[in-house]
Amino acid sequence: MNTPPVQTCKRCLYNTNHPLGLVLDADGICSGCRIHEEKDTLDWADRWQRLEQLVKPYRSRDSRNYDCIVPVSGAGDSFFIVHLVKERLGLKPLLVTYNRYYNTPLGIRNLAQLRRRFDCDILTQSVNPLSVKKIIRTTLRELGSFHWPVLAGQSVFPVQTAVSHRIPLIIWGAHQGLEQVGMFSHLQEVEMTRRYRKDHDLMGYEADDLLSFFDYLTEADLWQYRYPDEAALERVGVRGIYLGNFVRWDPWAQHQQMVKQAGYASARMNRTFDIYDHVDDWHYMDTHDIIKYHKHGYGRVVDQASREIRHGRISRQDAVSLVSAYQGNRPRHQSMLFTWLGLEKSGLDFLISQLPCHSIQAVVASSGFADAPPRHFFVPEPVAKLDMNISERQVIVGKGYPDNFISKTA
Amino acid sequence: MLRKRLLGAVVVRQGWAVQSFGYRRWLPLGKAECLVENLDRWGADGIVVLAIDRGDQGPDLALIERLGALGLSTPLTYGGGLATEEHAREAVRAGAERLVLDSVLSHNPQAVGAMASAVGVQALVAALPLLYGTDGQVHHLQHRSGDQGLLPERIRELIAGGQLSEVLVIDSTGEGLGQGFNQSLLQALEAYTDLPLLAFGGLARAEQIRPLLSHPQLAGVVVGNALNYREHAIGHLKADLTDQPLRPHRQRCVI
Repeated sequence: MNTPPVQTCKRCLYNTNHPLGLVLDADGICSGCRIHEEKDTLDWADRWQRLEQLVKPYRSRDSRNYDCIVPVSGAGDSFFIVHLVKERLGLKPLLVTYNRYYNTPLGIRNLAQLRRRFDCDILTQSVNPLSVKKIIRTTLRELGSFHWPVLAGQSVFPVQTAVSHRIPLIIWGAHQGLEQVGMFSHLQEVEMTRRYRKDHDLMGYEADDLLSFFDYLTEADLWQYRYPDEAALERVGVRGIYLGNFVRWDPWAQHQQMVKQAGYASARMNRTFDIYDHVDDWHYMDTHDIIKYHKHGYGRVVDQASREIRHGRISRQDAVSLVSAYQGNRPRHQSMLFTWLGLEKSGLDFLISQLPCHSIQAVVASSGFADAPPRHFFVPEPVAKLDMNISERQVIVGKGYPDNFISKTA
Repeated sequence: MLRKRLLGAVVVRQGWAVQSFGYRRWLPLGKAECLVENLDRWGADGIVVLAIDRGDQGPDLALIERLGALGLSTPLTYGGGLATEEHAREAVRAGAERLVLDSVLSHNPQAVGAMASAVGVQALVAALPLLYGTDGQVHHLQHRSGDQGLLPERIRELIAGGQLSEVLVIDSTGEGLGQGFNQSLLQALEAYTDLPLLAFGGLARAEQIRPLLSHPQLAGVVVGNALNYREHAIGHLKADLTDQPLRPHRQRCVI
């Protein structure tokens, strides 16, 4: 097949090499920007009413039961999601979280603050770290991904819990494919599917597919990441909905609201201007982002800058400057990763050299980010620091953790 | 007669499975392999893969081979770029069980007979994108050129003859919009063919499918975009149509 030429959207910074797929229209505007336009034309009050009707049958008549499951982390949109579910919809959620093993003290603090502030029960899944490390070594080698276990775990643990606890409704925040590349209209009210998870979250490889690689992974390492079987899903009637179809989703504004209203803590990170996303994970905006950069030709800051263009808070030129300022920054926590995984820097360098976009200069030049003059973009002062204090590492659950953390580190 | 079929469609453009809206606007969905594997697991009665931008490139054999390698238990029908007897042979060899013919019906109708000889009449399905023209008549739309007009004589002869096994009737106006299939398009075709008909375009919900199933010539309905919005979409549709002459839901027991 002839590969079509790469085209860049005239409005945001994405091009047609986007790993989720991207379609440009005759005006050179991408599908993500076109779907984003719906945010300013839809009747969101009406959408909210649709959501209220949708969740109505799932309200438990018994106060001892949960109404729904809400997957959370110590960052992302978790605070805003729980705020909507608990305080606006009036549901009783069971929070579930997957332990990524890259937790920052700030993320643990945020997670503790989340369940205390919103008075929720939470289930945590920690897969044994030996298996996790084995899987990472395999997916790193075969798929160029450190993150497969995180993506697999956080997307399947809520579904497994829905089946095991017989709580059919799972409520997620925004649909990544809709928000980034306009995979669906908000009006299509897309729901969670196993197909999307495999196709995009897991790069085409579910747990059992990893067994096809010729190495030392066994079923015992992978069974925790298996999607529940079809019959179990149908029996319970598991259904995962996205709040972003019913609420005008705006992560930057939502985070600011949650900082003021619910005690969410932000922090500055080395490779992005966004002080809100991923503060719970010392690896995501670090070596993981370097891999993303070499694999797809852009880092997470491009996602965030494109989002801000679409929301009208920055111009395209501002966005290019921001990307230029951050995307080349070095990772800060690589040595921790090497120690944890037993990986050598030369091994990582070799892996990067095998990735499709490994020539940084070529990527920067082709994306138009080179030599962009620095421009001013207002970023609020973060509440805390992404502190890596060794003494804090023992704190896993977050019991009593939030109280002094911010004053110590800010 | 066998009960009617509920088939899933996967539209492929520039190598990506896409949502298609009137073949003029598209939204990305993902890898065709993942969508097809999913339809197979869900128990679709058939899977139709339409590579809509093949033009003169011939069929996307690499795609068909990847789909064939999935070990599907659902019949796979492929359309896109099929213009010659050799194309038909290659596509079937690569893994397609049936072939959808579109542009070749207009541009080289003589090739259809050779294709039928090569792979069998039962393997060939005619795709007819139809819409109502400003004159109130049913028109045939040629995707490549955008031209439309009354159903050409050569196509009428083909669907009346013995070289094709089914006709995929595409509601071009409603395609992708989820507003339902214009049933009168099926009635309009009755005058030209006795072949079993498949309805595609605009179908998203059970209440849109139900009235079509009473049409005696209809052999099945094909749903595209709407199967991507919800888990077990095939099962949900079939559950809402259990009172209809539709094949029962048969879910794969795949972990």
